[in-house]
Amino acid sequence: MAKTILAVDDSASIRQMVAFTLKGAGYEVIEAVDGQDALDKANIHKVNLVLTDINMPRMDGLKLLELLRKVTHYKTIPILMLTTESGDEIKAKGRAAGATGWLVKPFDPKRLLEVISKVIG
Amino acid sequence: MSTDLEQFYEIFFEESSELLADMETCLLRLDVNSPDLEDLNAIFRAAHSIKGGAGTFGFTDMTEMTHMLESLLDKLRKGELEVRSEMVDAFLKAGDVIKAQLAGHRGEGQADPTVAAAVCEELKRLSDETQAPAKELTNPATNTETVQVEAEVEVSTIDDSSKLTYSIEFSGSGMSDATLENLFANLKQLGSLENLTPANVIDLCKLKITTDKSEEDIWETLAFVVDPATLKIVVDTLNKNETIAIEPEEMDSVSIDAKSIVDEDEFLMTDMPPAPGYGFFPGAPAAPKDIDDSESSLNSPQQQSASISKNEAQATLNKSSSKANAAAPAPASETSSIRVSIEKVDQMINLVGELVITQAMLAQTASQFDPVVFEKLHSGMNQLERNTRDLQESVMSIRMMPISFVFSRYPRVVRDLASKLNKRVDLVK
Repeated sequence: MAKTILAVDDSASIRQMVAFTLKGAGYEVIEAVDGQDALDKANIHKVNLVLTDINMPRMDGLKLLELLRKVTHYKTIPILMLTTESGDEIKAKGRAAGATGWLVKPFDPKRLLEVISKVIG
Repeated sequence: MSTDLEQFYEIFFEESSELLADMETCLLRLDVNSPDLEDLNAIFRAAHSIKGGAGTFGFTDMTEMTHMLESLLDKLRKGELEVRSEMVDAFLKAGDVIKAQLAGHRGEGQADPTVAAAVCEELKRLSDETQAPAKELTNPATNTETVQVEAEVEVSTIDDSSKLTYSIEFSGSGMSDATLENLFANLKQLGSLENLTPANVIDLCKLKITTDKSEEDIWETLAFVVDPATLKIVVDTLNKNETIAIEPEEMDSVSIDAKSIVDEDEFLMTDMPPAPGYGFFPGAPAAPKDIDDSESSLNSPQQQSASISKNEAQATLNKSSSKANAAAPAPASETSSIRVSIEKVDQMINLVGELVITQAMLAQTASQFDPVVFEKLHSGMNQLERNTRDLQESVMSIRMMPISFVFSRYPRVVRDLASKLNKRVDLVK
């Protein structure tokens, strides 16, 4: 059965590009437009991986990370940060919030799949 | 698998146009005397989103401009700088340049690179000239104990760590001289830069930089301007062995908070990914097994995220769950709106128009029949008329635009005019 990935980004173009790339590689993709939307969807669908942007309206990616890690199913699920900021500060915050790793934008589809395959195969 | 990114260009263009319009609206309503933080955050997010998309889809001119915009906005929203009217003017000009660049990529004209360079320069000047007073401002007003400790640690880290030399290679194909100069200026801010590009080579840029910044910082500076696929950053091996880790003894005088920050910094510096652009945190949930997990005891996510209690998280989740369950069980990827091209909507309106005419013709023909004998025909015709009218109204409402689309342009026109004539004008809504 195909693994399901929750792709969270407020940018429609990035979200669609990510979804298209992942679907092409055989994953099932659920899209969310911000942290709150992601939280709603993560509760309904127990996904295998969460890929989240950091800077989003309503609820940012760090808050989403913190809240997801409190939920039993998401304690051990890989959650990757997708961010344009690659400084140590944002990585430290992401790590503290419970991120598994990070992927810096801009990225190409090949690199995205490479990172995903490292955590969920 | 290869993905043709061109298929996402149109949606990026539309999204960026909307973000630019939102950004302009926020800028025009921004009160420079008491700026609303939410407005500043919204403007920052708009610039940030455009930068992210432009970088991903390879529109380097837009990434450069949004990067400058974002840097200054970040300082404003963090309270490091105070908002001034000339900054708002510069932001509006930058928005105009990005609009022109966007139109250029759409094939609807061409952006003037000299204007873009001038606006970039202005944003940089605004960001730089106020850096000194900003530092003075942050100290007395906003420092907490932790912030002070962090600042001390930062100084120690810089003093105690030796610099690294990185060799950088990328393709300069398609980049203007102004872009390259700007890029070099940005790199020089990180450390001492040496340009090793052979004089007879046009496409390939070779640089060497000696800096105390991390490889990621260099990557971040370059990635939005150069094609990431051609970018190579390699640590100069001659210097690598000279790296001195921060000695724990030297940090004895600082508090536990500071220790954790140092550990984190040390961890992050030693945890550089083999290929820049991504990485994993050792010991983090579901992190790949083949990465070094010797640091896994440091700053466990669960310990660090104590700011939100389990109950709070569960309550939020339950709340969102009940909200989600209350709504109709929609497919997962469904969003509240979809983008459809105007041509398709116009085609639908035309077809409905034809349907209305046909229905009217049928109604006229049917009216000649005896309503008593042809009762069912008349009943059916009445039903058809109602349905046709409802359909027409629905389709027309799809094509409607908010009236604000017209009037939202006035504040900018009035502002520009007032600025040009040097008059103070209040636009009453």
